[in-house]
Amino acid sequence: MKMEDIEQNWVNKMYEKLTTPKTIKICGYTALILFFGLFITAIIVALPPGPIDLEPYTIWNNWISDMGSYKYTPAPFLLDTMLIGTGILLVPFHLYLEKHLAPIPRDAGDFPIPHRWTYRLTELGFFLNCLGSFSMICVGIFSEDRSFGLHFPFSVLLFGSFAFGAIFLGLAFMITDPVIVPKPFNYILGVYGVHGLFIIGGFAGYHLLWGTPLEKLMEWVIFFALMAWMLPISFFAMRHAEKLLNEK
Amino acid sequence: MQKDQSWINRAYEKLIAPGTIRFCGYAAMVVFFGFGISAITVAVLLGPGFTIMNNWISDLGNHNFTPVPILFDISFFGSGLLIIPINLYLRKNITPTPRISEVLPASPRMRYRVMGLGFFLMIIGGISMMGLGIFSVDRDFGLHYIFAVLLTSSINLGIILIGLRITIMEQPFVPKPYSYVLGVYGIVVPTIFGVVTPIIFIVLPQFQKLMEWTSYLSTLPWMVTWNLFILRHAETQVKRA
Repeated sequence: MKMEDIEQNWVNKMYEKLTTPKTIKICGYTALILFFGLFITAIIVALPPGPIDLEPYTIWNNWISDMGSYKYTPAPFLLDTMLIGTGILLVPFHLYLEKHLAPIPRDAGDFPIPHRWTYRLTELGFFLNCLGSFSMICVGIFSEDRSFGLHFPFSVLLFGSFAFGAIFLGLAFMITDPVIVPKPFNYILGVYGVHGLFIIGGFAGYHLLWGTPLEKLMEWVIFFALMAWMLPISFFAMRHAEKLLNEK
Repeated sequence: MQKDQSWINRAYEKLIAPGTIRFCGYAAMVVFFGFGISAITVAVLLGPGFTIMNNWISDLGNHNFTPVPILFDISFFGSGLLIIPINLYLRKNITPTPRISEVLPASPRMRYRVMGLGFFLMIIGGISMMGLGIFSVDRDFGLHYIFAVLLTSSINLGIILIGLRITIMEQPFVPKPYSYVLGVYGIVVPTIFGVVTPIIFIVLPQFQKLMEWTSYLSTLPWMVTWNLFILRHAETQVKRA
């Protein structure tokens, strides 16, 4: 395939549009508003006793997914919309991270390029994050009320792929040039991605696997642990995009 | 270029030299088939009645079914170890990342993604093969089943991705039209077995063991042919050097 063909095909044009700093900025702010806006609203709406289950919603007695069921909340679509919307809006972020952490050289000015391990780790992190986003969308579509037996597998896939993606991406942050996450934050975030999520995931996974009384709370713990990983990355990516926009 | 002088980099370069790959390729086939066929022959002739209808593949490494379980362990451990350099070689040569401007243009990004994932899955497959050899049924420690599942899923998914890579994208290993045959086989056969095997496991439990053998044997023609094409590529590189 010639270079001109690569540049001119519609997939590549779409990819370039999706990963422009402007798109990232728009997606970033929209994702933050959508995520926090709808999630906090979903919690507030779910807190009073639900239409069927008369117990109030708490994080130690309820799964996160319960907010997507009519049994526990009168507005389950809030969580569903949040999951589908954020899942879609995260995809350009994954593409942007991959593009800048592991750049494919297109002309002589792009050299030198990162070490091959950066490519390997970033590719894996990218794939797992995309799988995480896809699962997030599917958790929103196949919510507790319309599960078709798919809600649970997609929930496991969502947490699992984001957590493993964090390990690979965390390593990539530590060994590669600090393009997106500046020093020394790349080390802090990298160590957290590799160890923090592994420890928290393992600890919480134990409770979830053995079905202890703390299992529901532990699901929330993994959720907050993932947020502590993903939010700083989103901010750093937006900061990077902002910088690129200002340079133009 | 301090990176080039590090011992890891030097070891990596030696590991993926065409000469090493040629050795690893032939050795992997000799170890896999030599020890594998011996393990089956010994189990059938000297064991208490080994058949593919009634026994799992892993039973070849169980002293209750064969007097020499080590044959199977060596076959899996050895070939698992030897396919790791082959996959490193493959990853480097099928979609090389340009290091100098003279070798531009680089391939489209999708090729790196597909091959990166295929490479990772194949490496997991190699490690799982070694794991199966170490933690055989006789010395399980609860790990044999995990490695078996990991091996089957990673190798099959890896084959699908590499199949995809060689069918729809250009590559220097398999010439046309063989690339289409091998690629389509790599996409279709593991996909069919990936769908059919779990169904058979649930619906017809009496055929579970036969299904495991069939699924295992279905990947062999692909793996052997693919390995031969990689060896052919390495051979060409050795001659050129």
